Amino acid sequence: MRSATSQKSHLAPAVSSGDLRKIAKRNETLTGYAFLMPAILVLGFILLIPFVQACILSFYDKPIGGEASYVGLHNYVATLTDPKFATAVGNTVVFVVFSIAFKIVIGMSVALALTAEFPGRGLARVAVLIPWALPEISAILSWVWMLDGNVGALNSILRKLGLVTTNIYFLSDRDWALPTVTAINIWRGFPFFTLTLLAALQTVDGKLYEAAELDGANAWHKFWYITLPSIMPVLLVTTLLSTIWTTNSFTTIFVLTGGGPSDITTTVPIYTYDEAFKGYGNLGRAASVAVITLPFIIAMIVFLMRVMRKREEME
Amino acid sequence: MKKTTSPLYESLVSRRDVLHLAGKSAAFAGFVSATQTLPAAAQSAPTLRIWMGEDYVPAWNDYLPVMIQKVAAEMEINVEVELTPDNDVGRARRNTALESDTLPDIIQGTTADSARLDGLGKLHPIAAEVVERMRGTNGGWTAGIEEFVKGPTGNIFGVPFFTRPWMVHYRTDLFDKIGITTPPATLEDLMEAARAVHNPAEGIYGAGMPYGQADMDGHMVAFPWLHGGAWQNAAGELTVETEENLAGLKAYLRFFEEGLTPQDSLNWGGIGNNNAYLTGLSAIVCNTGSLFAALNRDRPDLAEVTRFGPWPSATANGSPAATTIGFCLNIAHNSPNAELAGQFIEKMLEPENMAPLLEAGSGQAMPVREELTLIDYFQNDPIVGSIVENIVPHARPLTSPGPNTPQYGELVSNNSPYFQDMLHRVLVDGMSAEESLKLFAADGDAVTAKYQ
Repeated sequence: MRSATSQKSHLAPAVSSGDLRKIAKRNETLTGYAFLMPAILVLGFILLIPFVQACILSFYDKPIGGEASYVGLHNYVATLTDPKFATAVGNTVVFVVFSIAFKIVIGMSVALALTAEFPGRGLARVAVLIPWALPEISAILSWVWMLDGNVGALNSILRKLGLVTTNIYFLSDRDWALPTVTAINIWRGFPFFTLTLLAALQTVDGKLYEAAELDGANAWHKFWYITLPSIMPVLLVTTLLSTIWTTNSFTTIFVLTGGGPSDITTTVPIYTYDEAFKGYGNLGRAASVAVITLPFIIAMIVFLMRVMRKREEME
Repeated sequence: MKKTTSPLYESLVSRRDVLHLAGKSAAFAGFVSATQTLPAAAQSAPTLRIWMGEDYVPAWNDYLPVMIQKVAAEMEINVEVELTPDNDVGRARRNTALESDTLPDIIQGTTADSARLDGLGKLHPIAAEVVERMRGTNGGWTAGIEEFVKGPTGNIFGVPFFTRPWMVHYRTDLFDKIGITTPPATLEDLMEAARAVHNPAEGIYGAGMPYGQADMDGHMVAFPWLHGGAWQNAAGELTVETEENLAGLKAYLRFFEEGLTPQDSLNWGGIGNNNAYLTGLSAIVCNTGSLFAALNRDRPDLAEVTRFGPWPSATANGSPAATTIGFCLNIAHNSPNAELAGQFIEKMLEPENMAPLLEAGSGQAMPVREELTLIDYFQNDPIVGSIVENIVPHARPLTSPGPNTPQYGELVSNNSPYFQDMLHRVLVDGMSAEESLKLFAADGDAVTAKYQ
């Protein structure tokens, strides 16, 4: 008996169930990491390595094609003390705040209008997406022609309607340039709000409105107490995404004004481009601008992720 | 500021190795695909990679690759020729090749851009030998053309290809109507003529002067000259803050201060003043042959009533001037076929190859070889002949009176933003011309520091 027990112990080493669970858990973890590895590698190559490179580059003076020279914090000091950078930050804030505010209001209004039943609603829903769906360069170039101060269609129409007596230089007048590029950005961006909010509106339970009507709620009450809370998570996510995109928006301004006249429409992305490629360029200086602005973008992304997580918890 | 390249930078930041590998791979892939259909003899022949500039004129773009292939066939070598546009896409491509040190064997460039490549040590010195050899053939180089390709130490960095002078275009039909029948003798006469035809209510502006980023070199380099100044001296040192340059700047600003040019000209791109003239918006513009080519193609009626001239002098006894862009052919410093590339360029520039190309260029390209100035096209075509007669004698390289230096090229070459900034500070921000010139001088100092 004794010998049999001893033999059994030899054949089956003492592994407790706790150990087995640990091994299984470790295998599961390793398997998880193995599955994640391709994504980690891809993200590492396309995000982490360039990011680290950009951070290091920001400490160098690096003209295109030329040798890099270590300059310490010089690029950061130069950027932060450059009045043009302050102007670019101010312009970016104005551009983003007005763009987002109007995109929300217009996007929401159009989405609400398109939830109502009316003939041609399907066509209208498609038509409203056109500014967003058009290739950006083509759409913006069309605006460049339409907004031309001398031969543009918009001035011609305004004159024919008797609304103006002298042409408006939308893109070259210091008072008009920033509002104009903001308006074009709104035109291009509001359909994204309409699209997402329209989808969100379809999920609001109609019985809530019926109940509210029985309680005597008017249209405003229904919007404020039912519609808005119901679509708020979607609205927040859409707003944050659009804010990030608008902050980084480059093409619209670059094609319309190139950041001018003077620096009146220069936003941070335009400023970064100018630093990178102005004259024969300084990539290190441009990298410092990108690094300086990165925390703000990360803060927005973190906020966005928190909102999305909260939304998941609510669901 | 210590200027060193650390091992950390080289190992972590420099993308040169990666870009170099990518560039070589692309070149190899192109070579493989190009040689797949070649006979065995051709496969063993060397291959030259050639980047030429895409031009405004379709006929030029059609003929140039054909001519290059013809030369390659005669020399029994292979070529991979590409036309790269003069826009952000083309510049990005060239910058990538520059950064990865994979420039093609032969690359066409403006002399300003080529001076930059020279300053970065990216060009092969063999170009000087080519230029020297060609002094003795086909009548040699046209007078003064070698100045276009001289670096700060007197070194020749590229082989002259063609030049493109800026020409003042006048609407003679409009000026005839008001009795102005002779070309303006002075800048003041030109201003007076512009004022006389200026009628914005009818959609006619006296002039069409840009103050955006494009075309500024043709204007803002000339105006100091007309007043006896220049942005650099003969030694290649920047000379920005001078009375003469300030007078030139102020003279140019008058077009805007008097409203003689459309306000939107501050947003004009490369074709802004072309469009202003072609649409009849502006009665006087200054442009290279691109406008002339467009006139011939799209508005022959307007071409007939257009007269060309250099910028008239600011004073009655001064000299007119025509700012002139030089184009040259460069050989990459690391070309494995540098000698062959030099021979190829010599062959390309022979009259039998260049004459049809210049003719295809419709007057936007002037010859750099004496023998080519004698061809029928430049002798007998009435309009092109008038350019040769009236403009070319006043043509001066953009760098005049100094050499090509990287800092000068960066400060004043086409698409350089510094002139635009100087003008915008005055015309948009309300700064004085003196203050703006001072800031332009500071820009010049900063640019110079980059190359020391």
